[in-house]
Amino acid sequence: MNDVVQNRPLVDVKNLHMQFELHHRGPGSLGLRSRKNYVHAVNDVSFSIDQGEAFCLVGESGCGKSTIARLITGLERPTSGEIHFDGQRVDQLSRGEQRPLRKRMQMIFQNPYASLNPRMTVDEALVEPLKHHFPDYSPQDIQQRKTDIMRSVGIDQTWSDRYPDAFSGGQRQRIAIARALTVDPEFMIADEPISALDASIQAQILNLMLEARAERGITYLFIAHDLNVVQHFATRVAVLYLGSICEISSTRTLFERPKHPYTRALLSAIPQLKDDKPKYIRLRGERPTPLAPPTGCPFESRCHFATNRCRHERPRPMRQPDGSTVACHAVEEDRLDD
Amino acid sequence: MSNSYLSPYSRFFQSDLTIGLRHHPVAFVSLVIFAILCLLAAFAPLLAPFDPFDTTQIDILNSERPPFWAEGAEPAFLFGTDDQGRDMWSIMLYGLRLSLIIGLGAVLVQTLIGVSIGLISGYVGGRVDSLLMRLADIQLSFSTLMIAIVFLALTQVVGGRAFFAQYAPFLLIVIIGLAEWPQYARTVRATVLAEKQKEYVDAARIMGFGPVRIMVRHILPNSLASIFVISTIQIANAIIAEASLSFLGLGMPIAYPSLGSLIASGFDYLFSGSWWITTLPALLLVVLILVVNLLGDWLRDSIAPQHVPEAG
Amino acid sequence: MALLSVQNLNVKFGGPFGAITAVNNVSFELQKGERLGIVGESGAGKSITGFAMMNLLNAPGFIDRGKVLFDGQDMVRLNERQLRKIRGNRMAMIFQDPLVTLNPVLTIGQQMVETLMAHRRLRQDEAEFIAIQKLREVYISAPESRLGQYPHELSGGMRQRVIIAIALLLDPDLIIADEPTTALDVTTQADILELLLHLCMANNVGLILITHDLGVVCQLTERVMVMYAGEVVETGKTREVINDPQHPYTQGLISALPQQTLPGTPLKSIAGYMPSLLSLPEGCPFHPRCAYASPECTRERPSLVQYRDASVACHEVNRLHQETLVE
Repeated sequence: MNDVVQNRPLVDVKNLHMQFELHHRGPGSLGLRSRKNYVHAVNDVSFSIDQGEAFCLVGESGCGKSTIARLITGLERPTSGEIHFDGQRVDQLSRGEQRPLRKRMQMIFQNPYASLNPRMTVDEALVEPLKHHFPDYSPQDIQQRKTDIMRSVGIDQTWSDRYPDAFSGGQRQRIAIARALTVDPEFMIADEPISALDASIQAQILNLMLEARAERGITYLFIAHDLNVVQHFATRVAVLYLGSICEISSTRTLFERPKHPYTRALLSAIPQLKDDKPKYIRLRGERPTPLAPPTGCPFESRCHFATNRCRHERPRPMRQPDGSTVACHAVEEDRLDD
Repeated sequence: MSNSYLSPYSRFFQSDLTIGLRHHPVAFVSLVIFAILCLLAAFAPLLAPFDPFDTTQIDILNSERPPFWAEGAEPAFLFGTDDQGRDMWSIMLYGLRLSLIIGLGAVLVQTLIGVSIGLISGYVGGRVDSLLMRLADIQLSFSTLMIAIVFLALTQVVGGRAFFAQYAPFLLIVIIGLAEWPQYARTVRATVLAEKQKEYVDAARIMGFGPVRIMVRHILPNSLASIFVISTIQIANAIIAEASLSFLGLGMPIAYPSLGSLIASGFDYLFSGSWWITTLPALLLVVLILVVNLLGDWLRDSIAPQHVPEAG
Repeated sequence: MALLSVQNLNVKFGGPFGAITAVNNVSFELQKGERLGIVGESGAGKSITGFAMMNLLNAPGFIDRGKVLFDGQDMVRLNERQLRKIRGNRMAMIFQDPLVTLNPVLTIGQQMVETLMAHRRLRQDEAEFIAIQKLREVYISAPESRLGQYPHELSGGMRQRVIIAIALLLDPDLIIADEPTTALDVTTQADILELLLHLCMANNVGLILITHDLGVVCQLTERVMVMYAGEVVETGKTREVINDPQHPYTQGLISALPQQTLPGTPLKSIAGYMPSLLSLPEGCPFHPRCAYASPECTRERPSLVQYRDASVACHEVNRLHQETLVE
């Protein structure tokens, strides 16, 4: 699983920033006065994903993980920063220039009830991308390809002529995965692909994605908030808080020796089945609004180890001896009690 | 997994709508009446005992005959005759036909313009959206009747009465169609904005499909429900608009009367005792508008809130 | 006497194709101060059971059969006025989405005072005093100033705290919490769970926790009831059910969790999908997905039988256990 070919990374993200303009109407102003505000969704995020990895972005709602996915797929343009895919810069491409990339990079969405067109049958949904991207395929080729994919993701042939509303969430997610696989991508972004599904179905879909990874060599960018799933699926994990990366490290290191205080709190908060649950580290206060992110460390207001330096100086990601990268003054100064 | 899934079309007609119909006797009756009216209009040339446009069949001596139940009725003229001696039943059938053609035609024009503009406005967004929507605002700030009155009056003066009489149905279709597209554009734009948020549109973009394909193949089919609902309202509005214009003498000429011009033509005779010339076509118009509106209400109730199960 | 006793509860939904049974023959008891978890996937009937206990089902849902005895009174037979005296007052409910539960155009204070004054003869300032006290109990800082705030001014976790405070306003005997933390982040969830547990224990309040998350159940409840396709398949002490599940469905549910398998290896998923309530299989509803199904399972519906410390609805529970022992 970890026999990664070490050359240039498949995806390389450098100093990514994303700000959304927000027209905020105060409740007292009867909607007449309109202020211009910016939501700082992604703040100076850098990471790279090697071929064959299952790289995972973890964080709570509003930490910018979905925005990063949308930026990499080209659904949005970053405010600044660079995104490279297989050595080619992709963040400023026009739609025509993006087209060859579409076959190589696909996405699975969170909500299978919204990610399939309700007015298209399973068959139509699978054939449309094939026709679009492989214009020289004969109708037999297309049928063959479609049948192969349907079989490989466990879609029954009898589903073909039905519309999405005939299916349950798990079945729909299979169809969505099948649609993404039609173009035979090498890189797949999965934005919380199982969090809308039932427990017994989650395992099915996760297995399907693991299978696709083993059989087709797909590299994943996996976005999740469920740390149990992350621990199972990911090879490397980046923890996001308020649009910034706190910690990047291999899955094993992260779960065995979390360093950043936020990572520690996050890990301690998972509801566990076992009795020997680590004591939950309660965070102080509330998460700051991304409208006015702190100038220092984004986590400073909730951190038990915060000092004056944390308040004023943004910590830079520092390479640790065990290979992880942590952005924290306390870790840097070795102030954390282990 | 249940095996009892029907094909989507049969499901559409067998479950939701028909069950809806069974539970809504009013809608059911409206549908039957509307269907009858459409059939009457479609087969007017076959059903009408007289051809009201054939002057040889008209005798001025037969004018102002009352309908069959009144005294002095002529059995040949079921619903009496008008002031020119035309059979009321026949001209009402032809009038209904014209009213429906103009109403449906105008709505077709509105749909074509409004849906295209709404789709582009909603999907492209930004400046294009602002421009098109301001255009719609300007269009809406003129009332339909005002535009139609000015335009039709001008055509009558410039083109002459004969020209006008010849092209009146087309002119009415085009003018009513042009005047009311913003209703469609706004509704479609709102639906597109809602649909655009959904992940299937993102999925289509990531697949690399072009904007035209996404608009037509993905978003439009999902906006049909609201287009359908607004269409019924607009058909009723267009028929009323045509009737009003005709009543004002700016619509269909009395030689080729629509329901509106029939009502107008009989108006002068209303108090001289020949009440039926105005009342009967007016009644027909009211019934037509009422059933269209009732059908629209029912459609909105049964298909607008889409029963999409949510995740969770 | 038990605080709540549900006997043979059947809930049906009337529909164009005839009535669908959403909850089938559910019975359980809850003592005062006891915390019970109802676990199941969507469509298992767990939320409907919760609503039925309040007699709050909306048409087309209705209680077809059975009793819901709350403190001896049958909720099914009470009229709307008598029900209102119990709901909100002695029995409170917490929902999944705090933004939907709170009225967006009223301030927190207005909503709390309104609830209080609807049930008790109080002056405005007395009601406000109680409201502030309850907000303090759920660890909301500066409660006096929160009273004037609107729901949208609060964060998700804060809103859920306010809802818990509202649920506690009239010192209820029972709180029914329907997925109270599903919409929240992990760290916020941990806070809210801790708070709920603390409040229930401190005030001796009974809790019925409806959730799909086994971890949450583990943390909060003493007893658990596992539902599948409208039926209770297993019930027992939470610890024991989680550590030693008897029913094949419960076993499948627990071993499907990612933390039960080595990272990167395939998970032990349960094959197939939850059946639609429209076309439930004959016999045991789980048999099409069950590895241990016997011919008997396809014919006859199993009823709950005592097996060790738990009650299990499975024909094959004895055989199943022997096989696991051999392994």
